[in-house]
Amino acid sequence: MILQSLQRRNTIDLMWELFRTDFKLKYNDSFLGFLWVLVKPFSIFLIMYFVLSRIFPSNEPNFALYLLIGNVFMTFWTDGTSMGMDSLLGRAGLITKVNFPRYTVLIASTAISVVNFLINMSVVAIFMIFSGIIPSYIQVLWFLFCSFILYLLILVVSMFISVVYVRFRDLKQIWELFNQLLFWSTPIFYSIDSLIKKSEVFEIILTKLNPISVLLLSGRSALLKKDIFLQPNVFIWLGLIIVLWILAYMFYRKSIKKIAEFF
Amino acid sequence: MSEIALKVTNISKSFPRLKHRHDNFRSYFWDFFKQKTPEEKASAKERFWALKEINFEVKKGEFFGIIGKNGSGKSTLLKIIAGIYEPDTGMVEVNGRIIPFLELGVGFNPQLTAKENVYLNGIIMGMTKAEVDEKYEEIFEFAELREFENLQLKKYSSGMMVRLAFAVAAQAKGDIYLLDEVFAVGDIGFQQKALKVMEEMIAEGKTFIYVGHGMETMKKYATNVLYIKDHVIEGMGLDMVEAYQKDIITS
Repeated sequence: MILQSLQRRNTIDLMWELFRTDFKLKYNDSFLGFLWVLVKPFSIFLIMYFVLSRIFPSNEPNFALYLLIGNVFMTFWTDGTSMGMDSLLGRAGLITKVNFPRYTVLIASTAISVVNFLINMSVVAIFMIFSGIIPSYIQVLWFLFCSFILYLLILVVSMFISVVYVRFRDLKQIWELFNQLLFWSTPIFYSIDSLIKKSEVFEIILTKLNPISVLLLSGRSALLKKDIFLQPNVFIWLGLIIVLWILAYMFYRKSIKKIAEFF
Repeated sequence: MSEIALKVTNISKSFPRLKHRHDNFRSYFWDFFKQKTPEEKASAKERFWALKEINFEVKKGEFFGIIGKNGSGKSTLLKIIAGIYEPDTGMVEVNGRIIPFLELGVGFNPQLTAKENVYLNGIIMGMTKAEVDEKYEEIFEFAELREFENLQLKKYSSGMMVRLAFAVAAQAKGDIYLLDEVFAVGDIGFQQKALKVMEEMIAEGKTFIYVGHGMETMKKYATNVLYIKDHVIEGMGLDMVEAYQKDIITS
């Protein structure tokens, strides 16, 4: 399906145009627009930082950066999946009137979250330089690799939820609830060492079951702790995501043919 | 096959009755666990047949009209031909590139400028970016909106918007055009211009499939007419325009 339609002459132009339109509408082509991208993760970061450093002081070195990277990573996931979820329904006007390869809207919508993530991370990079923490290329590459796996997961999940959202409009509420759960079961502000000692259940969730936690732990420690945290679980999740891709592709291809009838 | 632009074989299409369609999990599960009477169970499986066993062929260069009352299935048929809906049975064979005009200005966004909308709409209609670049001047010339190209579309009047949309549509090059009553646009001067564009395309040997209530247009251009009545084919041929008009008066 994908290869065939890439040969259709304007598919890439279409993807690019849809992305640019979204981009323009979100940022109004302005610098102030870019600042808005930063507001969400950084304001959550500031609140959490002030509250936590007073109530539950962390023994994590570079706690501020630890917390910031955690927030930016989690924002990537929540942004990416909510844009992915809305990719079909939000383009109802196009999908019910023109037949074009539907996956283009999925890629164009989630691409915005990638741009957001990169903007956020470049600010993190500036903070890191000011704090005197300068990771090596390999460490940065490993972090980017973990982020890339997260993007693959965002795409896979979006293939399912974008279709289901057209059928069941209350998925949005359920998804927000689910993301709350994910937020608390991801070590964004707490450090895992203390928790792992306390409970085996936590250990399994944080280091095995929750992919965002697995990717964040590994990627973040590569940036901050100067050791590449070569967790085998990162590769296990990469493998799982590839298997999920095959399922998602089959599901998407099958259900997309009838999607226009459900708007 | 080479003279045939479009072949529709045994197309049927049904939809579930709207009252049984749940659009959220809450009502879906509520309904799932609810005790149902046998009548309710039977009616849940009931389907509405929008089209039944439709067969026809359109030759290259034809102006093929499709007529019928509102809700008779014309637009569903057009959407199946355009590949937006999948038929329950049957198939559509297309020989050439289809350009669907089920609506003018698909994807238009009021927040964007006219220029940005021309690119967006043109590419959605199947043009490449390079093609829009090339035709850009022509589009604004035709729409007579040269001086407003950088104005946000929300500041356009509806007439201006339609002119712009038509000007883009006229540049989308294909072999088979699907039109769902898009010629009733703009003031009379612009309508004349739009019809002239269509006439030029007909002269070039393009195929048109036209759904509409404008019987004057039908009589003037159509080379063949399909009359759909109550979701099935009532008849085919130019005399169907008369039959349809008679049906409307008597019903």
